[in-house]
Amino acid sequence: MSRKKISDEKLYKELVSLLGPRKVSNKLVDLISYSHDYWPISLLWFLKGEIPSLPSIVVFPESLRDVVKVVRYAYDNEIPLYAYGGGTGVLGGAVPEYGGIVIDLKRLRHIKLYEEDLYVDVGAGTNGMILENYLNKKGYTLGHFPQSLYSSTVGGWISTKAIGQFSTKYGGIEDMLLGLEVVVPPGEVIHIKPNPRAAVGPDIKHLFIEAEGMFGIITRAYLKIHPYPEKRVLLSFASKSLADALESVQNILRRGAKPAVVRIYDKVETLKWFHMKKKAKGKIGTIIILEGDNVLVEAERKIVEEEFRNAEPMGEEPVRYWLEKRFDVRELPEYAPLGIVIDTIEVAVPWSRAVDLYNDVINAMRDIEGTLIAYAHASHFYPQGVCFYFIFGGIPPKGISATEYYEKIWEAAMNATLKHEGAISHHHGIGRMRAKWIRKDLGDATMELLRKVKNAIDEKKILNRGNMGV
Amino acid sequence: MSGWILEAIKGSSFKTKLSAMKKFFLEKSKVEDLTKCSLCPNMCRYACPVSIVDGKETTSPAGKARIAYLIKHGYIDLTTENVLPLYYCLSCESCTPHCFFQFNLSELVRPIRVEAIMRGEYPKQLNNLFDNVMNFGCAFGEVEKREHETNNRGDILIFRGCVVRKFYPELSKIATEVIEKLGYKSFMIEDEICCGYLLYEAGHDEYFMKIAKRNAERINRSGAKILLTLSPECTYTYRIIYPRYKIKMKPRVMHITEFIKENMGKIRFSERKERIVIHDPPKLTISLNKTRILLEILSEIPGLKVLRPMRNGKNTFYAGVSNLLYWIDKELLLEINRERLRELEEESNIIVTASPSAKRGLEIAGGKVYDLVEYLRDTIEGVRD
Repeated sequence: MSRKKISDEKLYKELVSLLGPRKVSNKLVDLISYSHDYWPISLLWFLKGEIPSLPSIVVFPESLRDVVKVVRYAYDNEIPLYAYGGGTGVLGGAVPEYGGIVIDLKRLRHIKLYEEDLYVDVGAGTNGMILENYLNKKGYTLGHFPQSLYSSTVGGWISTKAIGQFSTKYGGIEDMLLGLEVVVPPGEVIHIKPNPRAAVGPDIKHLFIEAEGMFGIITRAYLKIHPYPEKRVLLSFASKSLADALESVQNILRRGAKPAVVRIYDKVETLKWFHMKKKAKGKIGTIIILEGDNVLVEAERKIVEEEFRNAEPMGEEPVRYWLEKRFDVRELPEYAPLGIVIDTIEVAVPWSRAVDLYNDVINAMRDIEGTLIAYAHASHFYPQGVCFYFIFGGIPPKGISATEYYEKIWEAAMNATLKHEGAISHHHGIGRMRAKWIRKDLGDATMELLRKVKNAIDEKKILNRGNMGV
Repeated sequence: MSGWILEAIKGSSFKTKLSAMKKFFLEKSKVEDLTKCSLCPNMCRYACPVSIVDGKETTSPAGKARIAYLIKHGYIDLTTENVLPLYYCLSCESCTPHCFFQFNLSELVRPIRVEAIMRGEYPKQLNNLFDNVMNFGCAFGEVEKREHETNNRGDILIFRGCVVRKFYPELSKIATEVIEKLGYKSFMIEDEICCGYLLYEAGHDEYFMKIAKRNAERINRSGAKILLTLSPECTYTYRIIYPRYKIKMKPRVMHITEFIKENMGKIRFSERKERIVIHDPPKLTISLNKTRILLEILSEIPGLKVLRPMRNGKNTFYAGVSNLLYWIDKELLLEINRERLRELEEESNIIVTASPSAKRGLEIAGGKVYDLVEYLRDTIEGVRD
């Protein structure tokens, strides 16, 4: 699978002749900028001036035509091609491991609203917050609020199967995606129309959700939108135990209510988000946001209050605090320079195994020498189960490098998840960090099928070569 | 360290806790702001006009911080090519309101620009800017002298700024008329020179100091009680940057919007039945913290429907020519101005701003834009008795 012999100089010249000089760069500073994403361990390397992997060239297409030219060129010359959006992936999925070309899609950023049909046609490189602000101005919302909203792109959301904080009502990106446009090797354009539903063979668009740029380069998407909510209700509760809080939410969903936001914090994290509520100490804090049509919201409020009847109501304050702080990601910039290793791990599990999985993952992480903090919240809910979001921080003990400590923690968390047959990722994806465990999660036969699909679409393995271990 | 973290670390070993305490209490305060910025996932990117329009990681806010970090710590060399992205900044501070540390990216990377100047490794396109300021006293080149420029003395000295002197000399005359309608006499000085804003942003401290001292001496000597600037960049320079260099301005420094706002109570406006859209200049709404001043002034005009685009106030989007990009990458700057113009024209074709630089930028992009004084000239009938 080696790349055809082509010098970096020739590569630059040929791509410039295809795209023009403003869309191509081989400057060192650009190559460095695309050598990493937001994989926390790679940021620790960055602090020491260590660069994970340099591409040979970066291109900045401004149209579908440009993308087709790049894919065709990479295919013809067997050059690895790595798609890049906002660079907020936390698992190294965008690291150009084998060099080659990085294709940054942020210049593809058109927005076209279809109000009657309630969807938006949007360029893959469109910034999330710009899209949401645009929709709000027109009286709509996408309902998609990942923590990376201010920085990530639509194409990145699809490629990593992203989900937002308001998912319990609006769903993940896969629920919002009506259709899309993708360029696949050797340079063909796949266009899936934005119909409300289609039973026209297998749903091909799912092939590109969480494919992390391995099957094609997404250039546009058609996303469902919603009228801007008429009413919003903020509620919070303190329950005696994690099991009690989970059961309350499980019952709410069984009864058909769909709160937009539900977050259940363990005892440690409750101290953070309910710090203003002394009565919450030692308990399990839950915050809930209901939004939408006034009548529906009032009905949902009734259901929520009934199901949390055994918990203590804590009012709006913790929810307001969360709304104010939910995009504040200062921990890593503040603590990584001190040599503290911080990261998050999100997994999914059915209700029946939720509490056991939580306990086992937390204990496994705490058992690793050097661990300072390990806590979690449940942040996405389904009638069938829940996503836990674990957060850890630690100081590698003497003789152990940051990378070694980091790997140990991940190993512990992944093994504990697999023990309970949980999904090793709920919404961050696989990237390079989780590649080690993908086979254990999927099983040999599924993994082989994935390889076959990859080979059928991209037999030269130009797209995101090395990712997921596929 | 937050109280909840102290609780959270209780379960860790004594050794780890001790190590953490040491880091929190002895080392945390030493972490540089540039380092923190370079480790952020670019949460202010969506507000940065350069980043959104250019679409490159390298010119995103955190991208620039990362390059500055690598240069500062010697991981890459300070060369003209490596330092170039650090000049892809409009110094509009659009990043600041969206930063949980409230960082101003331009200020964070400026020390590298200063270093680049000292070592001669800055982008040479800037020589044109430096030469213009030093030879003509105007960032944009030679300016014609106008008849209405006077050396009279008075209480209010109108400081026109480089954009007005070069591209819109009539604006100073219009400003004089507006001020007169409000019942005040004003004057200008013939030998006005650039305030030095762009020299400061370019990191040319030596030239900046030279210009700033000369300016302060000339303006202080004029005897004016108010230094009234037409450009928010000039207001910012006199009010915020000069004091950093211990250069004292005797007159009270005011932007024209602030002066009009102070006199609002006595102004009689004529009716104006139309829909206009306002462009908030970031130097005014963010850097000078006058978030709604333009809206507040124009909303007083009877019959007028004042619209704001999606990006306004502290979330405004830059337009203009008073920035380093004007010398470094005019093509990108034009795209930024076009982007803003499209957004404004979605609301109305009558655009009003309070920045000659924004007017120029948007007009180069193909729009027709009124500076506030132009719009008010025919709308202010006079003052109440």
